[in-house]
Amino acid sequence: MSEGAMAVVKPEMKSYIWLQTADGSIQQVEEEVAMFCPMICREVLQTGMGSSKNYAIVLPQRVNPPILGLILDYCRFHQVPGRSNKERKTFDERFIRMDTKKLCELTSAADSLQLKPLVDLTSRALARIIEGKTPEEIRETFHLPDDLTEEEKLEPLRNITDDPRIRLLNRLYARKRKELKEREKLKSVEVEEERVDERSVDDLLTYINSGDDKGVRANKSKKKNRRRKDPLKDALSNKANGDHEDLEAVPTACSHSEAKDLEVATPHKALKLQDFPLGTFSPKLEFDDSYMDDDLDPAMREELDREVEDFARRLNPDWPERIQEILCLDRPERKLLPVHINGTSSSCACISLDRR
Amino acid sequence: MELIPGLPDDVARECLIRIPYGGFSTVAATCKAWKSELELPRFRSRRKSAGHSQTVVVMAQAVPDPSRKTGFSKLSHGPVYRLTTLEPLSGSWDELPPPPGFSGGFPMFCQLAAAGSDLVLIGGLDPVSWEASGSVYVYSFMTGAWRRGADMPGARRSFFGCASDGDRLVVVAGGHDGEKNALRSALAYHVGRDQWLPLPDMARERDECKAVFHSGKFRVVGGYGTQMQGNFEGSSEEFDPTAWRWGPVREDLLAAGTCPTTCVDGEGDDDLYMCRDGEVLALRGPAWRPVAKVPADVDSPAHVTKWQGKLLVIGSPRSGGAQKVYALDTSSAHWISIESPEKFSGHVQAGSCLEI
Repeated sequence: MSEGAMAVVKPEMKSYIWLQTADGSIQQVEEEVAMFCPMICREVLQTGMGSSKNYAIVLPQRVNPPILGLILDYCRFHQVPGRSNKERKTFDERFIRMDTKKLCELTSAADSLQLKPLVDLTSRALARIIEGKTPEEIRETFHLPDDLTEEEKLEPLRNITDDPRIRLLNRLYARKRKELKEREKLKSVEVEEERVDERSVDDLLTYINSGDDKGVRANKSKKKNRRRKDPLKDALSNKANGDHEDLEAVPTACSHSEAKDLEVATPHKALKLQDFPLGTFSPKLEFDDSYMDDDLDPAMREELDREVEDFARRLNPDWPERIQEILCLDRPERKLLPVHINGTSSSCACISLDRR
Repeated sequence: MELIPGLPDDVARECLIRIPYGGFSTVAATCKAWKSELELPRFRSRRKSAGHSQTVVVMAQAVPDPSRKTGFSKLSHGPVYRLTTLEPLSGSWDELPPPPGFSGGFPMFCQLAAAGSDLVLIGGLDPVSWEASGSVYVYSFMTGAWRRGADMPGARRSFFGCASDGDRLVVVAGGHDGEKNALRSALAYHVGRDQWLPLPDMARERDECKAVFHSGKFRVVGGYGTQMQGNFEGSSEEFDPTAWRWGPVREDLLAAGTCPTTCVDGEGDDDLYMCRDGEVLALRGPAWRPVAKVPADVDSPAHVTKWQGKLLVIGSPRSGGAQKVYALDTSSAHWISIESPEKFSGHVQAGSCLEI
């Protein structure tokens, strides 16, 4: 066949796809144009729908007739294979010139049809719009609430570098700690200020590595996250002693009842909190606590509470034991370390370590 | 609360991650939902994985002094430095606001290290009193704001090696104290926790050494001991943060007498790059090999920095002349010149690169 003959497509031979929008209206669209949308393409291939008026493909709610028209214009242009990048770019730039409201609708509709290139184009356009405006203007354009306090507007963003799971665990522990503090009278424990060589290195390592994980790692990382005790002194005593003394394991008489916000299948296991061997609550640790129970709005806090519960549940059916595992040092035998209530503050001086 | 009313949150996020980092503080001041979104670690990681993060080179750069032309300088104590940024891909330059509270002005010979989305500025000499400072300032690219970090403990050191793992640790090694004693001690700053941790000492005293982070380890290169003032030696030591110890000294990494200031971490299988004698050399295992010839315009490099696959060389011709900026594609050995406007043509003293 000659190219000339190929180029001519008789109208009767063109096939169409039938599409139905949320308002009930049905239209037919050239097949190659409609198939440019992954969602439509999939429907046709998997369910065979769209071949006739009675079997029109029902489009997602977010696609109304005028928006569909725009989307099809986009598809009609881009599905033609021969176009140069420059041509496409020029088309795109002209295409997105519309008011913000329509741009939002278009973005939403393109997303529901899984038309990624169009989503990319429109979200970039929206980003540019946002970039050029003041917060006031942005709120007006996008109908956002003016719900930040004057203070909050000026305060810098919290630079949360931790993995969200770590924060959740921290909240869990912070809550637990609070409870245990309340039950001070029931306990009388003392902590040996023994140090183990490897462990102080571990401490430093896990201290460094905390916040690393994407998932829950059943070792040091988690517990170290809130143990910003006194790494300087740790390392110092590490150098000084070089002793290999095990920490005395004194089981604590922890309450068996879980916090009311943690519903666990097997509440009979007690949760034992372990403390840093030096056993001091450094000021920074307190800061951690308050950081956890900070000025989050109630909705956020609730959500976080729920996440914490969820997270705790997800950890393990025997989650108290698991927490213990996580909290305890990474040693072959599980040692339960006591809670130290009255700590002595240790000196924080960094002494230059003279190693030959 | 939807991020953008009318758009599914996922789609709204696609818009937010496309906003250039300069707009982050505006986004954070718009409403609670947007502020929270920006504070989440996933915001940055999504931005990065979607390919919308921007590479920024931050430098301590001298303000060009117009009065110099007349031979009469008002600045009797030397050039004034401030922080500038260059986006090498777009070629756009900008200034950063100065850190607050530095009494005499911007510190001379401070060190810069980029950790995550934070720029850490450590030490330096007070430009008026010439006293070495142990101050730490952290600039967040997320918020566009400075905060003061914990002072570097121990001896007030200057001309130390400083490198970040690009995430949360900044290692400081060597340098000299107030009596010009070369130091072998080292410490690490954990950016998220705002805490300093001691490292074991290095084997050698290293004044004016260079620290480089590569393949998970901190390598400290060159420098000289107290007795060897100015006579650079060519050995290096590597610190492994997972084991928290230094490896054995590697002799003759560099030829004796070589100043290690142009050493940067290598790409791929290469361990290090450096500029020497008009060439860019790459170290792989035991041997150095030439990668490219340095353009004559910058064959006396003042500062070298590296980001993915590219090397940025800022310098001037050995024969004298204006400072220029060139970027090398390490795989193709192809150089591109980057224009620096008059305002950003001053001498570069220190720099670091980050992806935000």
